[in-house]
Amino acid sequence: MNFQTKDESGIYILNKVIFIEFYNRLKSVWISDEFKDMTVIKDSINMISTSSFQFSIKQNELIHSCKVISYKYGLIRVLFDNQSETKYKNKTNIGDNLELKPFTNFKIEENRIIAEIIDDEEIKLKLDIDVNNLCHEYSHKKTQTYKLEIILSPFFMINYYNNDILISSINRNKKLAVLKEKNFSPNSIDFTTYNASSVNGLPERLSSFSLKDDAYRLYNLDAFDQVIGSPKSLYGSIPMLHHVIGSGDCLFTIFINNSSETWVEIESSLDEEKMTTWSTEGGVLDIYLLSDCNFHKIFFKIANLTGFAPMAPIFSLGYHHCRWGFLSQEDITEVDDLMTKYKIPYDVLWLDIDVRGSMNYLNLFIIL
Amino acid sequence: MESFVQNLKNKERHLVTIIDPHLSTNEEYEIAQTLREKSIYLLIFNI
Repeated sequence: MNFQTKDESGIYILNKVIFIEFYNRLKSVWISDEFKDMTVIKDSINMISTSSFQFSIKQNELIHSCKVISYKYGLIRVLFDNQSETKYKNKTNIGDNLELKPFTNFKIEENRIIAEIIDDEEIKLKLDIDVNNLCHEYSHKKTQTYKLEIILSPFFMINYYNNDILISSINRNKKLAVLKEKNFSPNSIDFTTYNASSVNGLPERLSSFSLKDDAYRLYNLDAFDQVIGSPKSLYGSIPMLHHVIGSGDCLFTIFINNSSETWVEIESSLDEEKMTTWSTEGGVLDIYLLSDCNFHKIFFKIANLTGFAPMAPIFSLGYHHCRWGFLSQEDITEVDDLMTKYKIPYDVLWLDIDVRGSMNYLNLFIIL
Repeated sequence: MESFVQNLKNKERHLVTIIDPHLSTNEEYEIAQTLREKSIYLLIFNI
């Protein structure tokens, strides 16, 4: 992993030291031969319902449980459930509210499991805006097939889309590690995406939209001093990665529902393969796989999973005046008065955290 | 402050205040005091 060496703040370095500890634990698993031997225990394959099945993976002496669930609109969820039995049992998950979709085809062969979904749901979107009775409607219907093939020994998964287009494989490079330790349970998984022309997503950063071959960190940290061109994350970090397959005729999205500190390492090979390794500090590996040929539809599917964004209020489209360092109430009043005096239009005035003084956040309108 | 907000409102302007997920534990801060008295603070971390 390529650790960033550009000008870094103290707190960033401190966090990096903590990360190296868990990264080294994972690495010891990846390079050790005894852990490379991963097999699915054939007797453990169990169809829970028409839309989900479960199996166990034996990795040296560790046994991980893996659950595959199929949802509406061809969404596939792969859950490496290392500790859900105890720690996360009563926690609700975003997947719990989604509508299930039964597998169209499920069979167990000599060395593989094949699960197939045929989806012909119609997507209907209607956008109503009060202004000028503007109404925009969008609907799309197309039969699409999604296929997940699980090779039992050595364990890895292959993801296909429409007419057996090979999209990606999971655990191809044997970087699956699900560690159980007291107060510390790092996980890792790798994905290989074929014929991928670009990779986008992950955290907000002062770098190019398209992700380069580097290690990206998902950790929200307001560390001052951003370096232009650095892959260091700014405020937002969303564990979602979009792959553009071919010349844009297909999009493949990976979403890992894990809020702990995560590093995503991207590597490209000459034949347009993109390899991504996800290492998380804790929690469970809860993976959602989405693929579609239509860009509107894939974003509909993402919104269906993580929620639709609310319509922005009209006033919010204007100029926002935001400042850190208002010294007094007179200072704020003066800004507003001068804006009015010189007829500078603005709609929203923002007060930054410093106006609260000593972090008395539940008190409104206390200004130093 | 209330008159200032009213003044902004009259001009059809909005006010947004940013908060961080911290809270002062200063003993003079009455909310911190109430939280301590009523044992609302999370004392033991155990999921």
